[in-house]
Amino acid sequence: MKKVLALVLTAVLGIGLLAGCGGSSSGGSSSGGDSSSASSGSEASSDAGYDLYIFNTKGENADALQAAVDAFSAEKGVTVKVFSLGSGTNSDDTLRTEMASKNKPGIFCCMNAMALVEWVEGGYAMDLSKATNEEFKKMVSEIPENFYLTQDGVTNYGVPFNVEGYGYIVDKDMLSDLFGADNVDAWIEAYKTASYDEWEAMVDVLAAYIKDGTAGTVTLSGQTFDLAAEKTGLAANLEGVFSVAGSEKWTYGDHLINVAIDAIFKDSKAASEATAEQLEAGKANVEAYARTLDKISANATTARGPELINSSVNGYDQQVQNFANGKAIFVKQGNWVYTNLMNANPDVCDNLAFIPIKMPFNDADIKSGLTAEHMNTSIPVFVPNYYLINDKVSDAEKELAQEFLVWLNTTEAGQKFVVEDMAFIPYNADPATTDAGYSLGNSIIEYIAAGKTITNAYAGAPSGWSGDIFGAYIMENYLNQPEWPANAYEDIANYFVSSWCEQAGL
Amino acid sequence: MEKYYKRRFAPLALPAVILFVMVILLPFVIGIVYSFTSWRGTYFAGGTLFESFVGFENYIKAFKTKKFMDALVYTVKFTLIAVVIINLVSLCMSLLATYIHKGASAYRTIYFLPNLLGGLALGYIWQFIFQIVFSKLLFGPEGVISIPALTNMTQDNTKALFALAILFTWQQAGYMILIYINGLNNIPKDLTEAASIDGANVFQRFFNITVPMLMPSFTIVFFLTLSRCFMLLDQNIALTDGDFGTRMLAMQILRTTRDSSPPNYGLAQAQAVIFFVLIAAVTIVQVSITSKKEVEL
Repeated sequence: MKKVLALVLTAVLGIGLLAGCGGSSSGGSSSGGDSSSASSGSEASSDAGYDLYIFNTKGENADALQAAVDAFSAEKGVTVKVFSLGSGTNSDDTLRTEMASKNKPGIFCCMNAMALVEWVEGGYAMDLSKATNEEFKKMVSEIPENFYLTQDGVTNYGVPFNVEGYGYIVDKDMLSDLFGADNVDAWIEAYKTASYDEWEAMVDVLAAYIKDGTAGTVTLSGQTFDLAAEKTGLAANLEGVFSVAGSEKWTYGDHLINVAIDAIFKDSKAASEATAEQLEAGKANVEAYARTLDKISANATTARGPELINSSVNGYDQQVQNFANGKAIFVKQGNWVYTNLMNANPDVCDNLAFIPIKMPFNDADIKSGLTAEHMNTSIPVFVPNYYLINDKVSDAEKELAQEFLVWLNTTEAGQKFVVEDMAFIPYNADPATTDAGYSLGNSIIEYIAAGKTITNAYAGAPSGWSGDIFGAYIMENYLNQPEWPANAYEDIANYFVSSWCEQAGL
Repeated sequence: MEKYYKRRFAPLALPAVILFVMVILLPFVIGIVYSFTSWRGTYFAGGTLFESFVGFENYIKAFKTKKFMDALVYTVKFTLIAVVIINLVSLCMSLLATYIHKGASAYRTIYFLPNLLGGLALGYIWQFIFQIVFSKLLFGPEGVISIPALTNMTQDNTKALFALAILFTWQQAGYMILIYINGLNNIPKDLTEAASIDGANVFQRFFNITVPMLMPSFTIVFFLTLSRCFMLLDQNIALTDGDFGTRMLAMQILRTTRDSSPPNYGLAQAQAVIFFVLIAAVTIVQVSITSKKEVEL
């Protein structure tokens, strides 16, 4: 009896195994539709059950990309496989595994020049000047030079996903309750050109207003704005000037410090070639960063101290939530928070605008060729991610990859998915005619149109430095301290130089 | 049945052997080979496997890396504290459990439950407990009773050591209790009875009869706790994510590939080999010491 049972069980197990294998292979080929109709599919790729394999590392646009790909495959009669990881998941290891396997992705993603190194060294990233498709060549030649994914400044390996920007986000309805409905636009214009000292004074006035209800006067670019005598409407719930995510190292370790790094290096390539002397010479800009951070963190919705870096209370979600619920006037974030804001409180989303981050820069200290005036009136706008073509796949797949990228970025059908479904601002958008469809997106387009943008030089910092080392240092030594020692700004600047040098091996 | 197993030993053992070779032995050997090269995850820097051979360079570099040495020291500290706490707690609990007769199995089940939770889930649960329940509700300035040492335990290198130990004890104690209870039940009752007739008090009975008789259980529990404490990963990531210098060895190996660009998988692999040798050495020494003290009846 037992023998029979054992046999049956073994048989069941065996069948399970076989079924498992069979299921996956048939699933793979059937998912994309009819692979025999593939005109350009080479033998190798049709074996794998697809003509083009796209590895997408941005989980947020997984559905939108799938929809775009479906439309593309229907139009061209090809089979395209898309693989997306959940948003926030680190995709590096998965991508490396796929790259080492037989079925390598034809299109994959890469964030910046630092991450590019391994794909160039390994021979995966295709130099886009070697493209075979005429339309693709034309599209690549039109990518602005400052949007290149490059190591030497000449060879471009990537097609930008989109552009993103960040700064302080402010709700115009909130401003209207603070300064009166008639003054909102004038206030924003005056703020844009205001000096750092005026900004600091403004923060103090607003903080006192929130805490004690003392209505004061704010001076920006020489113009004065009176606060409403009573805290009414949206202003009634205010708890702090800024909504700060103290436990999110990237907010001050990547994005805020980037403004100071932009004052030292003209772009990420220059930053990746930094010398110890250049870093030393740029220290004054880091002190400017420290002073700004001091002001922001001391006026957050949570008092500066251990609670500010408590991830259960002051994480990214809570930061967005606090702003959406009108507990803070400003939040330093980018246009990517839009969907989170929509989820938290749709009412707040219609009238949002970006306003620049101010730091006490001096023209003499800025080494990147910009002026303090430009730095304080601009917002960082940059390409957060790129599509790359894998040099190690078949020529047919490479050709199809080019066709897809052309279709996505230049045709009307493709752009519809980029702008509407992914909520992206296309890198090749014409500021004069493009409508992002939402307030924050349009605010960025306005800055692009006015030429008031800075870049993302921090992407050239040594790998793992900005968040894990510098960000952690700020969090563990300063954001959890109610009072900063007198030489804090200097110490932060010194640590900036020493830790960068150590990580870069300078 | 016995005969059946003997006769069919090879076909019955084959699936397990194949699996073991494929998913444990082969990757292990390949890993050791890779640790001597400048492997970058998807390619070998400098060309082929042989061209990228760097000898012991990765090993030397690992010991020269401050992060690796810090993680090593921190792991040893954690292991010392956690092994002691887990053993004390589970031994006391199991002694109690042997005196309980009503609902003993319910009691065991409840203590075993945390063991069924995954390390990440557990880490996040305890993060909430340390950050909100401990820091604000119970021991904060406005809490039930103000004990600064128990607030913000995840925000300090030393406090986090105890936070991790508390978490890990909560998870592991239930399992260790089962082993100890089993060991305690195997001690013949007549030994303690004879001792108490001879006038031995509770402590004398415990140290002269229970402890020596419990040695086999000690061997297993020490082995399990030592190796598990050394290899702690998920809980470390979920609770502190290495902030405030709380990176332990397993996490350090995992994060090494993020610390440089291109990622240095060769270095990470060398650290993993060192890690393996270390755990093997410590546990072999421990098992040989404790099993020597086991008494044969």
